[in-house]
Amino acid sequence: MTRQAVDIREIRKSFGLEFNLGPVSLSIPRGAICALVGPNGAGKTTLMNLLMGIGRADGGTAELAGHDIRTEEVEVKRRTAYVSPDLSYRAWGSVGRAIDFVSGFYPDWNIDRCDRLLQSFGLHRGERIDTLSFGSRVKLATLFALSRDAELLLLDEPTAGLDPLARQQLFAELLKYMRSEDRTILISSHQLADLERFADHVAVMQAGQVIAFGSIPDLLERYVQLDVQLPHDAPVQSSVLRAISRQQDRACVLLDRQSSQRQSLEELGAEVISENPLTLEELFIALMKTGRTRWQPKLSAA
Amino acid sequence: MNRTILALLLDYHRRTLGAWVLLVCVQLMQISAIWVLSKDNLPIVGAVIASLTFCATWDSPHLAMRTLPITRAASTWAG
Repeated sequence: MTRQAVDIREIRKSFGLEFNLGPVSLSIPRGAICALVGPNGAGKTTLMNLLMGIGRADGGTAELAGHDIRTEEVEVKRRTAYVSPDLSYRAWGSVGRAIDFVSGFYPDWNIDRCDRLLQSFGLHRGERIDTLSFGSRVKLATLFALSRDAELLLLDEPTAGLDPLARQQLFAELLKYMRSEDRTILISSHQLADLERFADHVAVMQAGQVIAFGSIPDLLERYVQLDVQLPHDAPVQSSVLRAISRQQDRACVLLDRQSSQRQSLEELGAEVISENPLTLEELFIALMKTGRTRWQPKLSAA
Repeated sequence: MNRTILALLLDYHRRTLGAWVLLVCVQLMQISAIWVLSKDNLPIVGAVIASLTFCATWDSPHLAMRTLPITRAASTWAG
């Protein structure tokens, strides 16, 4: 059994001049809950779709649960569950018929768990899918993912359209799913406060690239916000400054402790007034505003 | 026959039963129109409108099919 639940190497997809994904490389260890965050149009859904075989990548490779997504597609899908608001089950008419159809493909389908989730999510077998609200359709897709023992969950915006109570229920169900150590979740959402509590890793995407990846405590340790007084006489280059906000000679700066940025600032005469830790949401906003360069993964030798 | 293929076939015919009924109705209307009005081109317009209406209202299960543990070819055909 490989240690990585998700191993993406240089995967890329071009959509003409408008948008290019990648090359993206990402390794998520088994047992991790990894949040995939980024602004709208960053490429999160495209990446998840490519991993799930919805669309073909132009290049690169990826393994999910130790199986190549191109050559072992069926095995990958047996071990992986995918939830997305884009998945439509309306063609099956009722909730019950959709469940009967989908469950037939999975020998590990757990009928008792499915019934419990139906009750928990407030869904009924006889309900017509086209009368369900948007949130309930997402719940139905989540039910399909959680009613079996998938090793890996790919969740694209599973909280979309859910009220706070339903969101709490969803995260409670996901935590139950994570009781087994071998299971892994890759979840994209804009609810960063929820993700900070729930996830242990985060990958930040911007314009089709992964710009930061790591365990959440490590990233929050690595990046801090500096309040700096800039020198009056010497202008500081914006590439050195990486200002989140600036008012005349005062600036809020995103500092990467692993870079020589602080030294560069001090050499230019900037005075650090205070150093403040960031929450995940603040770090996300700071990374978006400062447009960090692409994160380079350490690829292990084959 | 493979159980997966049988399940897909049964499901496909169950899901698309409405479309087959629609097709028969359009065919009957076409034959009736040709017979009553003796205008060959009129029913074709009706068939085109019916097809476009069907395509516009059809919510494809293709993406949901792609997540199932079946080959790309099977999901493309069944979706």
